[in-house]
Amino acid sequence: MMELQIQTRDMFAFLHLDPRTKLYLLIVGNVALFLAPSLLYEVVLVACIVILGVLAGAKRFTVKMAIVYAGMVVLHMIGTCHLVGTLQVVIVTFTVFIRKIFPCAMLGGILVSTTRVNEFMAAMNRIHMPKAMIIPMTVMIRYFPMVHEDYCYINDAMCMRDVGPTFTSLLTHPIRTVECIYVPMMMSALKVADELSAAAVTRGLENPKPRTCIAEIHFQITDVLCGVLFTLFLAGSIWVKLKGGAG
Amino acid sequence: MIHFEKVSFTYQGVMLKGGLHNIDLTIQKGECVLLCGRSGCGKTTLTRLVNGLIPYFYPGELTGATYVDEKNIQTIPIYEIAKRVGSVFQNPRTQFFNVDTDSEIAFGMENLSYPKEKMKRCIKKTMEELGINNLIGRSIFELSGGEKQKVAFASIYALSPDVYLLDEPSSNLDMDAIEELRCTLELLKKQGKTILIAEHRIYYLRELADHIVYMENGTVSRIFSTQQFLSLSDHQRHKMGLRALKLSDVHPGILPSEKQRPILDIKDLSLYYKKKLILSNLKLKAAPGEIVGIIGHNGAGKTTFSRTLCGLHRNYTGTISWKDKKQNAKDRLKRSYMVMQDVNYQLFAETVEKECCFGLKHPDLDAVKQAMERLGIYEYRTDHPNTLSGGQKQRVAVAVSMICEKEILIFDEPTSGLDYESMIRVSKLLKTLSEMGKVIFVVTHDYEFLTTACTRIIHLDDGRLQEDYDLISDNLHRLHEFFLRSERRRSFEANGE
Amino acid sequence: MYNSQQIKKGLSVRDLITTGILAALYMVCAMIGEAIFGFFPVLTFLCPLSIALLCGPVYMLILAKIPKHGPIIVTGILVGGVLFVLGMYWSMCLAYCILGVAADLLAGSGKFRSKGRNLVSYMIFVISPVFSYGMLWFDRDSYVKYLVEKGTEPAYMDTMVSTAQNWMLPAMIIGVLICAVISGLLGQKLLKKHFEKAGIV
Repeated sequence: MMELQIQTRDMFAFLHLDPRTKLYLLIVGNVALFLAPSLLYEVVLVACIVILGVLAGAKRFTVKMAIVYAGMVVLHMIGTCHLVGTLQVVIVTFTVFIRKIFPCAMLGGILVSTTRVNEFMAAMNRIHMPKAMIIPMTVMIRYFPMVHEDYCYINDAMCMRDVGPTFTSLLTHPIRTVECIYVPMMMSALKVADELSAAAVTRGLENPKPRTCIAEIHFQITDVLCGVLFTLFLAGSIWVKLKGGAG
Repeated sequence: MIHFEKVSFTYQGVMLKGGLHNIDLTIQKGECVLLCGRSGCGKTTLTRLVNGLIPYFYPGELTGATYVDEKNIQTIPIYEIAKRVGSVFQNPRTQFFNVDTDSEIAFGMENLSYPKEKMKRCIKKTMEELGINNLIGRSIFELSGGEKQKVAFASIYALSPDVYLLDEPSSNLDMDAIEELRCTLELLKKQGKTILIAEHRIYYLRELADHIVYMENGTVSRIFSTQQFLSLSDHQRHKMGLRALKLSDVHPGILPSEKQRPILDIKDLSLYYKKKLILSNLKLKAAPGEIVGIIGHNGAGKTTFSRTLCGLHRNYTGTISWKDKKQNAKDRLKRSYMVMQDVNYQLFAETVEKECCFGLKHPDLDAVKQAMERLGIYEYRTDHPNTLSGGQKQRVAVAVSMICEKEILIFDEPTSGLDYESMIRVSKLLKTLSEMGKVIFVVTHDYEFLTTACTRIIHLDDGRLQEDYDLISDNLHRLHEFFLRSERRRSFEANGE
Repeated sequence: MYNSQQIKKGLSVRDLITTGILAALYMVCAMIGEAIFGFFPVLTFLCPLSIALLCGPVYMLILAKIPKHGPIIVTGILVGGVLFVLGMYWSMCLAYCILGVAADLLAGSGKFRSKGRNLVSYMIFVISPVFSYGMLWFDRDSYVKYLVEKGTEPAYMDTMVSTAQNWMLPAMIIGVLICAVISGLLGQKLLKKHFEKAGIV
């Protein structure tokens, strides 16, 4: 059965986590960041995320994000120590804000870029997500690239009619330009919805029995380790917060 | 096996044509039956009765009964039907539910709650028997249309239903993919499956079909045996609105080839897609009134070439001139127009008339009226373009090009899914445009259409221009060479046996 | 949530697939809205406005195509969920889910056919992105404290932050609502002009 197993995108990934673990890490990471008591704590957490990302195989993405994050931290330092007045408030507000969001985006990006869709769907099945969510979710993921394809066709068609979606046409004929994009796009979406439904229904999607799933997912020791590590982090931040509040 | 008993059906609403009147038809187990007839004759509707999409999915007024295996289809839920009847649809792009091939092939089995071990076994068997081991674990977005169709087929095959329904499976496929489709059908037939195909392009089915059901206005008008069907004369067949049975029998209409001075001059054109060389050193001259057919395999750069010609693709080197004046992308965009394979993307307005004036600052209403009359769409001028048939939409797009006074016209697969008469209408339309002095390019896989419509052929493959010739009887063998390879190979094999 | 029996009564597989596809379209519009202003320091606060401006037609199409309870909730959960997985701030994702239910109920009170109620329902739904900035208000005290510790003059800090905050939240919400009305009306107009005429919805 070896040939049935789907390879991960990066062959050099040391760490192959179960999608459920990744989801758990994402939630814990989010809460931990929200509660982060200090800048140092945050930086350590981000360092963990970076290590995770590199090990999981999303090297380039992680390194890029890490550099941007480092830039943010430096900007923040400069903002707090060397600037005064309005400029300081603007810069600091922005960096505080971005710093809260950025590591989540990083974690999310790592999760998305190292997980195959069928694995993810299998995980959703395993945590007993209801059909009313699974079906739209699968279709949605599948339809994203088609939106882009459709847009390319529509853009071509508009250019040939000299009503192309350029900046000037958006200013001079906003309604017409918007109409030209939305109408064919939505018409196409409805057509695809109909044809896809017909194809799915004739392959028994309406069967009320629970679906089985071909893709395999298992927890491994690394899943447990990562889970514990992030949980400890969360516990740490809560503890520091409580202690800080008490003293 | 399949039995229709006095079935009549009318679709709900006014939009959908193709109802059925009093159909009585029996299809035995193991038969391969071809349903043919003009667009809107009800052949697709008939397949929808068997897989249960009518009345469940397409509501309407239904009388009579349809039986599969002595069971009335209307009394069993549609997911039960799925175990017996498998359906393959027209557009491979919209049949996929998942994003990778493995999940897609397993999709039907997952729905019917097969245990995991059985699923794996079935997938392995399917991949081997259909010869698609190379498609394991691929993302569907990197597959060609033919490969997508194969995976869609595999997804049905894995469930091993007794009945296969195919609704115009070839309309989005090229020659090679059609040949592969034929092989798959042959395999199914050997396994004793019952096959029901609704199709316009019938040449590839002529040895497979046991019966040919000819439908007209929602009734079964005649049932032919293969022998009877093959002995139909061209005249009879054309009167019935049917496409060619044998590609080698199709001969080009002799076209007047008074050549004018070339007006479009392409020099040393090389096309790139994201730094990758697609097509190199293309040289081409074209005169007004020429209808140039562009042929080549998937990925030969036909689409990129036509987009470059229109000024939509800008990653190229070389020059393109019109009347000895060099044309940049913007000039070409003004001068040329492409009628896309899916015309729906290029219709924007809420009525046909408004569509014709769309985007113009001072539309010439007389010219608009004239163009609409000339193309036979004047009577639909207040209708929404979306309510028209495929051929009519195409003509709306052509009307637009006439009103905008475009001089280079490119048609991308204008005949996919069209019956014989609509195809002839398209080829007449091209001739009209040619008489107006336009330079016309047609990208197509349709041999029959090429021979009736084009005056010249260019063949793109392996990153360069392979051949460029006028389509006169002396050069016919070259077009045959390209198209009839698989066709001829088969007839050799048949003779050898 | 829906179990399989309720699906039969309420949403068919066809409805679910249509919802999925239109939710993808909604998501794309929202992401484009995000991308327009998302990468500039101060302009990032305009994001909810551009999102509100872009998503109206798709929202109206969902209501028109599937006039039942459910699709908007599913859209909310899906968009929120995907944004969460993509690493957006959790408060926004939660807002999508909760406001999705509210918007669904409101549109349902007009049987999904009342233009006014559909519009208000969209206005509620599209406030969700504002919540990603909520942190600046929820966590205000610690934020001010933090800045003061770093040496900003407290009095100056207080006026600065409070004026910015008192002024910005209502301004952002009003802006979003105005954009939502424009976009929603445009959406309804497009539906009437094209989709009803073509007999699709």
